Amino acid sequence: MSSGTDQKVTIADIFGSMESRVNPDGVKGVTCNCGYKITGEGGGEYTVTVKDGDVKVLEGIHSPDVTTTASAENWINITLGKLDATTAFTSGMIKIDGDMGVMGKAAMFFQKYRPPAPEVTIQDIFGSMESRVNPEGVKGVTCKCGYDITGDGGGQYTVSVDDGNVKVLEGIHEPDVTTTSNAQNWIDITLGKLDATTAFTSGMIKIEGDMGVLGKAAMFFKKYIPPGGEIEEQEELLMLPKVISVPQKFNTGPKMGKFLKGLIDKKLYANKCPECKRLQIPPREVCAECIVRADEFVEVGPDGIIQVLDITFFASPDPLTGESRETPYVSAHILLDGCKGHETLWHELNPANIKTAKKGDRVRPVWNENRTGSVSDILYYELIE
Amino acid sequence: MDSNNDSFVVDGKLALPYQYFAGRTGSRFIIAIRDEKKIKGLECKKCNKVYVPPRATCEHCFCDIKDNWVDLDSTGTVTGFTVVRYEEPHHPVKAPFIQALVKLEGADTPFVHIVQGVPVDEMKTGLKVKAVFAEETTTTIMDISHFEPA
Amino acid sequence: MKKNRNVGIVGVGQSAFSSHREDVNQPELINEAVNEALEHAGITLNDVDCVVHGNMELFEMVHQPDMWHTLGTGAYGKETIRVTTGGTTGATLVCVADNLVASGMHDVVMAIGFEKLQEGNTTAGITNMSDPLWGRRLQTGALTGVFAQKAIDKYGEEKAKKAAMKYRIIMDKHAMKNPKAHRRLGLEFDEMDTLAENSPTLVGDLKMIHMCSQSDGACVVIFASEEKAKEICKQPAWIKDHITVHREEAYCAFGDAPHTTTHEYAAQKLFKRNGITSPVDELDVFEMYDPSCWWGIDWISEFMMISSDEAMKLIEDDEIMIGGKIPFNPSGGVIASNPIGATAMVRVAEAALQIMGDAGEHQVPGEVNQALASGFGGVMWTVLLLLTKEAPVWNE
Repeated sequence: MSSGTDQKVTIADIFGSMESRVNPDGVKGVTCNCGYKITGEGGGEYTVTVKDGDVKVLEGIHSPDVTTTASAENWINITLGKLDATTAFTSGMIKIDGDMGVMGKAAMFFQKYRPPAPEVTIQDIFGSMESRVNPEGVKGVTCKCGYDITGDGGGQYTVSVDDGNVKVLEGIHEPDVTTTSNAQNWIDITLGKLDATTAFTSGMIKIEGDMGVLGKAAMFFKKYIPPGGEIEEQEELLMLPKVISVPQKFNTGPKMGKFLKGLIDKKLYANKCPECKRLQIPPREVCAECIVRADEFVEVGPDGIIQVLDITFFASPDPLTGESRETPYVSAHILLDGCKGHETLWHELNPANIKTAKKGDRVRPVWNENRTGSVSDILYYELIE
Repeated sequence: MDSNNDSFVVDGKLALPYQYFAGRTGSRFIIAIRDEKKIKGLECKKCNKVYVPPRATCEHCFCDIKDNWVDLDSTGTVTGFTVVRYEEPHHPVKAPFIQALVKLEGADTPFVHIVQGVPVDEMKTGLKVKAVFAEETTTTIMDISHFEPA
Repeated sequence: MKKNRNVGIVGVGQSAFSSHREDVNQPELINEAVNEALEHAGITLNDVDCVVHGNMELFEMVHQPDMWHTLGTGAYGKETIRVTTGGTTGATLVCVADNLVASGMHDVVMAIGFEKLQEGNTTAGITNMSDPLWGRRLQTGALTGVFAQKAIDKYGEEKAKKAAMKYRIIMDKHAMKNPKAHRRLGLEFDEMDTLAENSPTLVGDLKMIHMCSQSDGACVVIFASEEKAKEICKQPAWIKDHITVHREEAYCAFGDAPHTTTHEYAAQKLFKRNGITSPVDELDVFEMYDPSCWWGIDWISEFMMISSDEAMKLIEDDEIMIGGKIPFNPSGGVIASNPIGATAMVRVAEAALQIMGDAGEHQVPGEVNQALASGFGGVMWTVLLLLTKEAPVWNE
């Protein structure tokens, strides 16, 4: 396949970049001179001198232990891994004169050559997006993602998806989520040189707003290919996305049954251990600490005080639907009136209370109109003003 | 048992998103079916066995065989079958249908697929079949639509 | 506590831990670790009598993985046992393999822990493990701000946050020395404040920088009877003792009342029956299952049987770093790599490598005579294992 990178790779660049690509383990303790006669258009003569691990690349041939002769085209292809060196040698495409043993070591002298990277700009990344839309990824999606790319070459963009229709606008326009990154990091992420999760975790990129949207955004576009460039051909690796959704039936058992039925009448029952006297809510058949049945029920609450607040910003899937949950939401442990110590009830707090709620605040349940004897009979707890 | 207790039955649900990675070996197998209409296997030269579907490691001698690709004929022999007579949403076709183990020419292992074009009560082990490739591909094993009598 | 016969670890293998393993399916991933472990032990699959296999339920949503993983595990025709105990799975696999060899049932047992977290949804999986009648709607996966809050209440906000980030960066510095580790970020101590400030919030004061990775990876450990171990290996890592402690699940656990944690209970019991009175002085290395640095700083005092202030001082004085008094997680720990079903086994594997002297760049200086490894899972339960350089001697 002909490509832009071929034009950019030169014999001068391959030899010129060698000193910066030295592999210290490969040259350790080695002393030798390797000559290279590269013929044809763009060719040249070079000597790689290694003196006890110290590497210099000189123009011209200087008392070599071994000399390799190849055409510029073949040498470029060998360097890029497109032509197998052994095959080339066996078939006479390259010639080697002198100490073959030295040649074996020479294969370890340098790290892999990377062709000069094509010019990648933020403008081109965003400008090419509409032509890179992945129809599967945007199907049925409506959202706006803002991108604030800072620093040299940066800019502001909004990717607007309206039921699968994608437009990329300049500027930030009412985004559901905004990603802030400097231009270099964003280019590296786009080219796959920087792992997005790592960048996110370590704060190199910042995300504000609905994280669930961003999870979908990763699927909106096909891979970016730099202008005139050929990316290393990547093999297609298959993934089969599925959502498993299984209907289930559970028997409550008598203790949990009594508790859940109580919710229908807006009553909260704990059961009491006959030995240690602790309450359990929701109740369980036994007190696991005393290993005795706990048959006595006590009505508690329904109001109480907040003991623990877990304000959750991470959009995990709802276990009942597989869809992303709305964030933030609050998982809370509430000490109901009549309970003490660890005897807390686990439920949620009204998300509207997030800004003001704190440990020790009094709360009351907000009951569902339609109660069936389940955790959802309480919508959530809310602050008592 | 105390029938007068408070136990009752509640409906629950469990939903989990996931994505299964086929890996390089599995991907090459499916993509060859999709793009080249060709079924490929992997050969263990030591055990002289050809595995279809391909696997990266020979399960007998445990050596790495992931580069020993061989092209196979799309014809083979049914080594076993069953008739599925009930409906499930995940079934690829409407019941009743024949689910068969097909051992391709040149392969040592059979794999499961669907046989069509034979009345279910005339289906026999030993039947010679050939693969019919799907016109609309889905990048799954169903890119072989089914097998039919050769 | 007495064993029928001694059991030594003779081989350890780990795949590279990563979140980009689209190139392999599950058995192929496992196969990488199996081959490395066999090579490390210098044996072949024919020498292995039994395979113990485990990972988390609900994480990849495939069933009977022990059966279809045979292609990668090499368990074809061998006795195979599947074990799954949540986050402790990897440590329980070690306990089972140890029991199988100690009992005399088998001479050489290979234990395999694996996870491909990229194939499933970790938080959804954990949430679905909660009680379906009440907890399933409320569970926030393994993410909680409770332990950050606990530390902040105990030490004050500034001191607690500083200790958590110090611990985090120590783990990263260790991970940088471990080529297998998944997240190697190259963090520096002077970045502490900006890192914490810029990192996105997960729950409460738990930020992404504090939390463990989600990794794909497999770990394999090979166990042998004393007789076989001495044949196979110059320096086996002997399994002196292990203890598993469970408690009731998470209701009624988050209030203001003192209680003994499973970590404390396990440590007290294990150390007592092995005559260890000062763990910080007597142990040479500890591979601790630390899902976040908030848990990490909280658990030092629980496992080491020291006060919270002493634990803080260990962090402040770099005593938990490689070269310190009691290095914690020279491998980088769970924060760096977390293929969950393998994670607790990696703790044991890494402790064993330290004893064998095979840990490479993250080998701690000096002799490692006693190493500790922990597993953590579910709603606070513990597996704690003690490994020794000398084969244990059992007195009647």
